[in-house]
Amino acid sequence: MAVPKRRMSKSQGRKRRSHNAIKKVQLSYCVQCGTPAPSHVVCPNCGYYQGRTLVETEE
Amino acid sequence: MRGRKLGRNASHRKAMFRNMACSLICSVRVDDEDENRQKNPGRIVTTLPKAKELRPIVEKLITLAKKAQPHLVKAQEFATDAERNSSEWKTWRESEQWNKWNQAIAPAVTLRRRAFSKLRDKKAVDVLFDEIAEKFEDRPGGYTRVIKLAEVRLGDAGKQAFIEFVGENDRVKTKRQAPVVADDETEEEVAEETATDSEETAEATETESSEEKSTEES
Ligand SMILES: [Zn+2]
Repeated sequence: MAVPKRRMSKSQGRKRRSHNAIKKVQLSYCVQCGTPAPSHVVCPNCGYYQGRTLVETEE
Repeated sequence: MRGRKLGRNASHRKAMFRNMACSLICSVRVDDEDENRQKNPGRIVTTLPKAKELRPIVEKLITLAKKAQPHLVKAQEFATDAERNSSEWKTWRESEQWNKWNQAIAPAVTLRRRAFSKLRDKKAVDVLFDEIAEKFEDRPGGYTRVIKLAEVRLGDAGKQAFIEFVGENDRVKTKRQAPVVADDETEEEVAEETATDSEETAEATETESSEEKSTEES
C-alpha cells in the first residue's frame, strides 16, 4: 500500500489550510425594525417578510 | 431515487410525508373551541428540506381534488335533498334519477378514494375536497409557499421553515411609478400644471400635518 515518504511539516499543512476559513454570514437588516438577520428569512423580531407581517409576535 | 432521502428509508419517508400532508391539510379547518388551536391556519412549521419535499406532494393532491369539482357540480343536478332512508329518499333511490346521479358522481368518488389511499385520513380528505379544492378552483398550480425562518432548531440547529397555502398573507405588489416625462408642452399647459401641482402639494402638507397631530394626540 502506498504510504507518505515524508512527514508533512506544520508549515505545509497550515499553508494548505490557509483557504479553508469559513466566512461570516452576511446579515441584512429588517426594513421595518432594523433587526439584523440572514437574508431571505422572516424577521425574528417582528415577523416581517417582503411587505407583510407573516409571524405575529406577542407583545 | 428522485428528491431527498432525508435520512429515512422508503417506508419511513412515505409515512412521514403522509403525516405531514394530513397535518397541513387539516390545519385549514380551525376548531375555535380548541385551546391549543394554531394561530395561523393552513400552515405548518418544519425543516426547510422537508417543507420543500412536501410541496409537490400536497400540490398533486390538490390537483386531484380539483378534478372532482366538475363531476360534483354535474351530479348535483340529479341529487336529492331528502334525508337518507326517508320515503322520499327511497323513491329517489329507486328512480332513474339515482342512476344518473350515480353515473355522474362516480369519477368524483374514484378521485376521493385515490386521495384517501395517499392520505389514509378521512378528515384530511374531507377538508381537501370540500374546502381547499374550492378555494383554488381558478388557480393553475402553485398552491403553497415555503418561507424560511430565522431561528434554527434548538438541539441540532436544523434550518426551520414553514409551508402554507397561498391566498392569505399574499405579497402586495407595489407598482413603480413611471417617470414623468415633461416635454413638448406649451407654456400655458405648463403653467396650469404647476398651479395644480402647487395646490396638490399644499393639500398633501395639510394632510401630513393633520396626521402628525393625530399621532401626537394618541
Ligand atoms: Zn423586523
